[in-house]
Amino acid sequence: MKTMRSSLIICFALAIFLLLVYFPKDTFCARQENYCFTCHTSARKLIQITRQISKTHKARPGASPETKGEG
Amino acid sequence: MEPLAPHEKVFVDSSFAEDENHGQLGCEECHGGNPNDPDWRTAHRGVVRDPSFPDPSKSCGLCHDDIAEHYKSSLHVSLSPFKKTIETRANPNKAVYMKVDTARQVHCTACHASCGQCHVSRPDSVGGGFLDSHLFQKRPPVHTVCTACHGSRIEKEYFGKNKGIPPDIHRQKYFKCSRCHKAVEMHGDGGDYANRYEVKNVPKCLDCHKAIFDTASANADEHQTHRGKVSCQVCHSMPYKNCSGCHFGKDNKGLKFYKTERSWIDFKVGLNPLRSENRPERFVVVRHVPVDPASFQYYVKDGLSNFDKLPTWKMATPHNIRRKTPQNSSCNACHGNPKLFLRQEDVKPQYLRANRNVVVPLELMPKRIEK
Repeated sequence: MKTMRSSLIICFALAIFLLLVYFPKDTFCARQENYCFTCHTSARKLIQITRQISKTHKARPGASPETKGEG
Repeated sequence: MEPLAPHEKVFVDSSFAEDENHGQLGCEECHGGNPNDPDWRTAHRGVVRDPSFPDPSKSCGLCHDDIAEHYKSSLHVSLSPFKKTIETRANPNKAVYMKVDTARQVHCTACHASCGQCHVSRPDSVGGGFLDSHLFQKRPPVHTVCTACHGSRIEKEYFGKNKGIPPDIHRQKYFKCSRCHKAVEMHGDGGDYANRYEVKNVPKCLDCHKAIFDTASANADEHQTHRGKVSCQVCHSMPYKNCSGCHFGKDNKGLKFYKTERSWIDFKVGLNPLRSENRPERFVVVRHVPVDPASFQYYVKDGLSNFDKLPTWKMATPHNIRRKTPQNSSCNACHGNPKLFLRQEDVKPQYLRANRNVVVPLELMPKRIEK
C-alpha cells in the first residue's frame, strides 16, 4: 500500500513537473485577460464601440467639398 | 480602392498572436494604453496609433535598428524634395516665408509614410485602416499602399487607366512596385537628397536591361547611337498625365482643400534640367507639375516670388513603358518632329522664364533623316 501511495505521489509530481516544463508559456499569458486583444479581435465588439463613437462624434469634419481636380 | 468600415480599420486577426516576432509583444509595448482596463474609453488613454511615426526608435527600431537608423532620410518620411523646391521658389522675406512654410506643413506634409503606414496599415492620408487585420506585410501591397498615394499619375499610367494608353509592359509581366523599388531605396540611406532622381538606390532600366548595348541584341545600333544622349523614357514612354494651376486653401469650415485648374495627357521631350554623371542625357521626358505662382495665395500674397528659379516642366520617368511607342516607330517619328519637343509655344507666357533651361531650341532638335 505504501509503495503504491509513493508511486502515485511520484507520478503526480512528475506530471506537474512535465506540465510546467512543456506547457507553452504563451498559453498562460493568453489566459490573462488582455482587453486590447479581446476587443480588437471581436468584430461584434468593435462594431458596437464604433457605433457608440459615431454617436458622440457626429460633427466630425470630413473632406472639404471644395477640393477639385487631381492631386 | 474600397474604403474600410470603421470597425474594419481596427480589427485584429487573432492569428496575429501566432506571429513569432510581432505577436509576442504586448499591444501596449508599441501602442501604449492599458490592456488591463475593461473600459475602452480609459483603456485608450495615451494610445499611439502609429508608433513608428515620427520616431520608430522605440518600436520598430528596437529590433530593426539597421533600418530605423536612416528612417528620417527616407523621402517617403521626410518629403524633403517638397521642402527644398518650395524653399527655392519661396519669397526670401522671413515673415512671408513662414506663412508659405505653414501652408506647406498643412497641405504637403500630410502625405507621408512610416514603417506602420506601409507594412501594417493604409497611409493616414487615405484614411488609414489595417491592410490585413494588423498582420505585418513584408512587401507593402500595391493597391492599398503604393497607389493609394501615387494614384493620379503612377497608378493610371502603370495599370493603363488613361484612356487609349496601354499599361506598362512591366505590369503585363506582373511586376509589383517592389520588384524595381527595393527596400533599400524606400527605407532611406542617410542621404539628404534634393529630388528622387539623386537617390543612390533608385532603380535604373539598365539594372535589368544591360544587354541592350550588346552587338548581338535586337536594336543594338539604335541603343548605341542614342546612348547617353536621350533617356530611356524618351523612346519608350507613352503619353502621360500633366497638371497645372494647383491652389491650396481652407473652406469656410476650416477644412483644407486643393483645386487643380487643368489635367491633360501629353508627351514632351525637354532638355535635362538635372544633368549629372548618373543622368548625362541631354534629352529627357518632361512632365508639367501643378505648382503655380499663386499656389499659396490663400495664405500669403507673393509667397512664391522666386517661382522662376525652377522649371514647371520637370524631368519625369512615366510608368507606362512600352517596347514600341509612336515616337520610336521610325527614325523620323522623332527626328524632324518638333511637336514631340517642348517648344516655347507649349509653355504659358508667364512660365517661360521658369522653363528657359528645359525648352528645346529649334537648333537643338534632331533634324529629319533623309535616306
